[in-house]
Amino acid sequence: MVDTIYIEEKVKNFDRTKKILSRFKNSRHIFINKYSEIFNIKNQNFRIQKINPSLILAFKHKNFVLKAPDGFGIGTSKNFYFSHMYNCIYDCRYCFLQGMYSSANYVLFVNYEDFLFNINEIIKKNEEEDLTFFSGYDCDSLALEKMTGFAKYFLPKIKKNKKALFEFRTKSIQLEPFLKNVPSENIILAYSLLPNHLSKKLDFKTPSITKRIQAIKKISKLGWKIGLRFDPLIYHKDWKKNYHNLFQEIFNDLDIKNIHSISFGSMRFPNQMFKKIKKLYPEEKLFSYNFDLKNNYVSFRKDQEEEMIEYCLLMIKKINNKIPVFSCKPF
Amino acid sequence: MSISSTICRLVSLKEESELFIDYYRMKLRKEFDLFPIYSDLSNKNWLVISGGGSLNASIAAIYLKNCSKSKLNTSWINFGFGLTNSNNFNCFVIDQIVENNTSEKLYPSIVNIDLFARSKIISFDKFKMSNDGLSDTNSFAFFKTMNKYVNKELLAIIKISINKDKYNDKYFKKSLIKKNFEKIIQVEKILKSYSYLESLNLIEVKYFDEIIKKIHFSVSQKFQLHNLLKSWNNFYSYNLLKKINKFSKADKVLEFLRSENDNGELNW
Repeated sequence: MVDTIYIEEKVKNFDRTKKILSRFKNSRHIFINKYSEIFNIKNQNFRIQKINPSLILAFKHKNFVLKAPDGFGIGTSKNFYFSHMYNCIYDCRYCFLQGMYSSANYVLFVNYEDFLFNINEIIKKNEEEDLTFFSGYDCDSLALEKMTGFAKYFLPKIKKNKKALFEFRTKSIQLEPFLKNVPSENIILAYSLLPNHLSKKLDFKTPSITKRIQAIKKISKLGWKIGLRFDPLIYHKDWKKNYHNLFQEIFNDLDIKNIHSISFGSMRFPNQMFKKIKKLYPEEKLFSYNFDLKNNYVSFRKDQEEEMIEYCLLMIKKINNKIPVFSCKPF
Repeated sequence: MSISSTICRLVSLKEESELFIDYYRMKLRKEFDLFPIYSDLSNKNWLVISGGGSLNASIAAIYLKNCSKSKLNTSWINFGFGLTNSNNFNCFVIDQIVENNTSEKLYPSIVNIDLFARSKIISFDKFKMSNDGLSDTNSFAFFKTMNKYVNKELLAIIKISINKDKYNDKYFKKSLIKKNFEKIIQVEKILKSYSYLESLNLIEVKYFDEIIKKIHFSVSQKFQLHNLLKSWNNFYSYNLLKKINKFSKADKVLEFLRSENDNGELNW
């Protein structure tokens, strides 16, 4: 899967590094000083690198946990995010990572302990507040779990800390760390979902929507809290019918008591990021759409966004009006 | 849609060039006299013989870039021999270059180029043996220079390892190239496919040429037309020329395309 691994000198003797490398016996190992020698430098092509990305094992020195953008949250007063990885094995056409980095290689920060330490420090400093920590912002939380073992390391440790909510956002059906742990009220496995028909056109290299829904049903039956993330909502021909069908498929035979929350997110890109992505995929219909440009953000028109959110809210309320619903605007 | 997948090659020595020249039926371009430059009839395949040394490599690469009018989507290959103290004569794709004097490192891209084993190479000012694997005089200069002009995914460095004893044996070197040549051509094909991806923004879009032949567009109007057509082609498949036959002025065509794009529907 990964045929080249760049390894920062600083982490080459870490047990975790050795364990990861042992999984790729046939890959070529190249030692580097800093991941920035390879990652996100000038004059690279994201789209070409995405054909077969390399892995970079690195050490994160600072900014382990960051404040989530305004409007991003699921009910708590303060929201943070952390990324043990940059980039993703999936290739979703609407993903902002395409425009964020010039490099498609995966950077994995192997000093997980420092992430945990910083999270605990933030919890201590905010004793009186409700907090949520989101994983899966600059990467998919679970897609490379077999290799990274991040959730396996993290789950047992954060389960103890009931003061904060932790959301693992994913499209992966790699459930092993959740199957091997006892469910905990403060941990949410959140799935990003699109109508099936749309997902086939825009979500590349991901598990199908049907498989994601099967995983949701399986894991919720075990008692894990589930987040349903309709993010981004995409306005398209027959969107009402397609989102209606999606909700039907999800809620058919799903035990609602373990749905922690539902959130809707609008598709928004900073203008410069949008231009960069459009340039990478000029043949993609999505980026030819007549989007609105407001306050330097590219998005569907306000009336389209509102119509979609209103409709989806109504559909959800019809199914069950007790599930908390949030509308996230990540930019 | 016209796609120009030009490849430029830089070699140090004549014997490194000969198989490429034969394969692509390239001819010496006498009008370029700073370095020997060859190209085929289509002007899609180019080669320069730089001579030894890093300075020559940099200058020859830039000279070839100018002579071939290479663009952002042109792919580049540095082919040649790398000195080794072993008796194994293998072909490698270089994925790490170290400049001997400064220890600066560069990491060429290797996306799906798995036809040869990979190797690090040390670049010296003059041909010199390294105790740390392969060495040469031009990889670093070539990569550093050309990565300023094209993305690194369009640059490949291929070296055949050779020891001092065999280095001056031209026939032996030629036989080594011959042995690996088919795979080298395959690497070139991979680069061409990447060149296509890099070209997506440079290629002329459908109907562009026909429209500007028929109606006068200013430079800025041509730019607008190009962008509008790119989007239009993503939404519609009917014959645009029939539809715009009624227009005789550029601004009317642009207005029509704008309105069509505004109404374009996301209907996967």
